[in-house]
Amino acid sequence: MKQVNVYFKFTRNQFIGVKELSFEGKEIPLEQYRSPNNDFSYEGDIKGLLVVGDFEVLVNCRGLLGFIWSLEVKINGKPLTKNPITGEIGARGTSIIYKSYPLPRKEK
Amino acid sequence: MKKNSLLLLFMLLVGTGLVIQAQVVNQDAEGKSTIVFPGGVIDIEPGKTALTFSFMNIPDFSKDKGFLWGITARAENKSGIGKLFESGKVVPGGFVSVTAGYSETLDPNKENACYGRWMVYARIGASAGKFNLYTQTDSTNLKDQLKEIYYNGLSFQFGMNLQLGGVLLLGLTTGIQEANNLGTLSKQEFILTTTQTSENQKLVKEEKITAYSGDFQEFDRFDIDADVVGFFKLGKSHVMTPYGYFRWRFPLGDEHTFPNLMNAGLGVNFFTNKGNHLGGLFLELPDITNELKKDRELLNRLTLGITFKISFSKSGLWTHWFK
Repeated sequence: MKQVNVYFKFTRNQFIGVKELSFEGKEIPLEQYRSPNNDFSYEGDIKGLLVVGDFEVLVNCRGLLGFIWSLEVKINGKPLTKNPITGEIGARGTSIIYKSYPLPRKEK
Repeated sequence: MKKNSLLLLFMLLVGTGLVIQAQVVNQDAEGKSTIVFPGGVIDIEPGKTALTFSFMNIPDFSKDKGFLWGITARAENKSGIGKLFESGKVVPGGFVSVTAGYSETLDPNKENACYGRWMVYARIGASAGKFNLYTQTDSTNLKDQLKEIYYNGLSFQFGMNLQLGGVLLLGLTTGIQEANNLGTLSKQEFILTTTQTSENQKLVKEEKITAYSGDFQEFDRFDIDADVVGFFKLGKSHVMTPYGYFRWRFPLGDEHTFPNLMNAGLGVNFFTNKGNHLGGLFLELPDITNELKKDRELLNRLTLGITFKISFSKSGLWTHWFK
């Protein structure tokens, strides 16, 4: 269990809303990180976020069919093994991803 | 005119730092839709010399519920192309409206349930304008045959929107407004020539005047508007939004000769899956049953429009052009 430095950038368009973004079960208060063009981005420590093993990501979006979102994540300055994570709104009007990704390897 | 004026307006809007995240998924030939969508839109209609600005603040898709509000202002010139910006000012005419409402999601908490939401809103508006009416009186002063008419009216609408899953948006409004039949009068262009003579000199002044002929009537009108928009994937990276709409107009009272009217239209817009508008087109059939008896040929009454967006960095500017 360790404290990490997190960078994330969530990119979406006006046809998509982000209902929830969580890392390791901790919900990110997105409104605090809203940028002028309505993306969300942050770099730094996230209080209470402790990483155990793989990095668990939950994205819950709502919107209109066919539009896409993108989530770029870096841990201690290095991107996750899948980067960026992307999703697309389906016919139900939602796009939900709940998955764990291996942390970037440490350089020797 | 007045390309410079239009260009100046564009530059002013961009220069003031106004960020317009324009978004319209559908609109009729008047640039109207019953479906409210977040963001601001500036809509220029060169064919009608009209300019519409609207801004809607709506809870985005992430919110379970919330209030919405918006404003719309439209400037329109009945005097013809080239006079929308007269002496650097937008001439009087058009309407302004204020919208307020409430939005709530449907079944937001159930796993695997379709996302949906409904909205209800009320809209209060006021319109005003002026135009020249060609009266064909026997006056010796020809200019007296052109009577300047001022009109105004209030409107009240109640509307509702429904989103079903990611694929369907429905909109419906009913309302009452103080209306007139200006749009059905015959538009004519006149050139008034006045001559001053003095000894062996002659001074000729020409004035271009746009006037309307016919029986101008004002009346209360009950309206029903309905829109439906679909969302479909087009290949891997594009989204197509076909739409259809109906506009019913029912004049009230018996102090007019204006008939009940029904307009209908079909259109489609295209977007990238990142949300950028690529363009669109629509076809409107005004007065489906030909109550106004303007042209018996259905094809001749069709209005074809193209919608596209000119981007200035993060700004968006919508225009649509008519045949």
